Amino acid sequence: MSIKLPQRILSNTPYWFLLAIVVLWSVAPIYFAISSSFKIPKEIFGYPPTYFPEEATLSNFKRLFEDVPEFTRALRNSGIVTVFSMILTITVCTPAAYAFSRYKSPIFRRSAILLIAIRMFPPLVISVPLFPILNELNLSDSHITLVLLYTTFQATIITLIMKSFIDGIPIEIEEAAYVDGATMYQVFIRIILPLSRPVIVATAIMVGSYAWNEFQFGFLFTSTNARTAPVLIAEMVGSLTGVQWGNVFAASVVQLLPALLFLWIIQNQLIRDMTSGATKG
Amino acid sequence: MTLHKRNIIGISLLIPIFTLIFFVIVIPEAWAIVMSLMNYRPGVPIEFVGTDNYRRILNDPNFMDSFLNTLRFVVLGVTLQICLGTAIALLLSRQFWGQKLWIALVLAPMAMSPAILGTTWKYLFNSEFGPINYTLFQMGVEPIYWFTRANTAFAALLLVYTWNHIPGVFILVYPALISIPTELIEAAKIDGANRFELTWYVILPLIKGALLIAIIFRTIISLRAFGEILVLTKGGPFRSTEVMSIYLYKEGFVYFSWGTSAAVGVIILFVTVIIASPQIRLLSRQMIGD
Repeated sequence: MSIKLPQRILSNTPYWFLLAIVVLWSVAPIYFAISSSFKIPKEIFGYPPTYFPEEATLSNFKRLFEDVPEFTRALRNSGIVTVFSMILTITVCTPAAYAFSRYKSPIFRRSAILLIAIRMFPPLVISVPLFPILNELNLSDSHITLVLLYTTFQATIITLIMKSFIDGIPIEIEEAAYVDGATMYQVFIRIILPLSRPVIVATAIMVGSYAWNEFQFGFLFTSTNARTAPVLIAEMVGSLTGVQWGNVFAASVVQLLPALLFLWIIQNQLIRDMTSGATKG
Repeated sequence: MTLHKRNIIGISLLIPIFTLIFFVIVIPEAWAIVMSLMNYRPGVPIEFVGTDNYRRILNDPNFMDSFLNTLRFVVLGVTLQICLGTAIALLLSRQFWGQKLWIALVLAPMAMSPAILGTTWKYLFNSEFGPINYTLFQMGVEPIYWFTRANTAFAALLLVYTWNHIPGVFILVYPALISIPTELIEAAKIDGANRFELTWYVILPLIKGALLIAIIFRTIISLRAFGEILVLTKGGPFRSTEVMSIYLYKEGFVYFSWGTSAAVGVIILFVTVIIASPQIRLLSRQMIGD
C-alpha cells in the first residue's frame, strides 16, 4: 500500500489536471460576476482586470437598491411567479402522472403521445399569436400569464419524471386500500401523494429554477407591473446612458445565488431523472 | 368498479393538464397558422392573403441569411456542446475524490438565466477592460472588438452558448456512462484495448442511445435560442448573429408585421417537428412503458 498509493496519485495527475481545466472553464465566468459585484466600480473598469476585489465592499448592493428601486419589485415579481408556477405545476402534474402510471388503456397511451408531441412546440412560435390575444384579454404584463406559460411548458417533462417515480410505488399498497373500501381519489390523496413527496419536492424545484430564470416570455409579455428580475437586469445592460456595471453585477449575483442553490439541491435527482426520463425504454 | 367507470376517473385526472395545454399551446398555435395566412398589421384591414407571407419571407434575403445563421449556429453549437459535454462526462466518470462538488461546479453554468449569461459575458468580452482581451493581450494578441465584426461576434456567441449548454449534455451522458457494467470495461481491457480503443469502440457505442437523445434535445433547444442572443448581440452586427428566432421577434415585436412573423414561427415549428419526431417516438415509448 505504501508504494501503491503515491503511484496511484501520480498516475492520476493528468486527470486531476484536466479536471482543473474543466472546473475552471465552468466556474470562471460565474466567479468573475460574483467577485465583480464586490468591487468598487472603478476597479470593475480598471485595467488590468483583477481576480480578487482589492477592497471588498457591499456598496454595489446598497446602491443597487437606491439607484434601481424597481429591482425590489422585480425580485418580488420573480418570487411570486416562481412560487405559483411551482404550486400550479405540481397540482396539475401529479394527478396526470398517477393516471399515466396506473392506466394502460389506449386512450392513455394516445394522450401521452399527444402530450409529448405538443411539448416540442417552440415557445417563441406561440408568442406571436399570444401577444394580440393577451392584449385583448387585458392579461399582458400580469403574473398570471407568466405562471400559466411556465406551468404549461414544464408540465410534460414534470409529468414524465413523476410518472417514473410513481411506477416504483408497489400497487399492492393501493389494492389493500381498495379492499378496505377506499375510492380512487382517496387512494390518490392519502397514499400516493404522501409517498411521492421526494419527487414532488425535486420537480417543484426544477420548475422553480426554470421560472426564476426564464427570460423570453418575461421579456415579451411584461413591462412594468409584472417585470421579472432577469428582464430588468437585461434592461440595465441595454441602457443607453451608460451601463452601471456595479449595479448590474450586484443584481446578477442576487438573481444567481438562489438559482445556484436550487441546482445544488436537485443535482442528484436531475442526473438520475434525466436517465430514466430520456434514455430508458 | 367497472372498467369503464375506472377509466372515467382516470381521464378526469388528466383534465387539468390538457386544459392548460389546450388553451396555452394548442389554441395559440392554431391561431399562429391562421395569422400566417393573413395580412395582419396595424393600420391595414386584416384579410386573408393565402401564402403571400411565406412567399415574401422566402424572397427576403434577410430571412435566408437568418436561416443560414440558424443552420450554422445549430450545427456548430450542437457539435461543440456534444463533443465537450461528452468529453467532460467521460473524464468525470473516472470518479474523483470530491465527485459531488466537481459535478456541481460543472453543472453551474446551467443555473444562469439567459439575461445574466448575456450581461456577464458582455463584460468578459468587453474590448477595453474585459478579462478575455486582457488575457489575450498578455499572450501577445491585439485587442479584439468582439461584437463589432461579424465573425468574432458569431464566434463569441457560439462560445457563450456552448458554455451555457454543456451541462445539458452532461446530465444526459454522464448517467449513461456510469451505468455501463464494469465487467464490459474489464473484459475489453483484458483483450488488450488501449484507452482510446476502449473509449471509441466500447464505451461510446454503449452510450449511443443517450448521445442520440442529447443530439436531438440540444438541436431542438438550440433552434429556439433567443434570450441569450438578444441580450448579447441583438442579432448584430450587420445581422451576422440574427437567427430565425431573432428575425421572427423583429418582424412581429419590432415592426408589428404579425402575419410574416407568424409565418416564420410556422417554419420554425415545421423544422422542429421534423427533427423532434424520433425523440417524440422514443419518449412516448418511455411514457407508456413498454
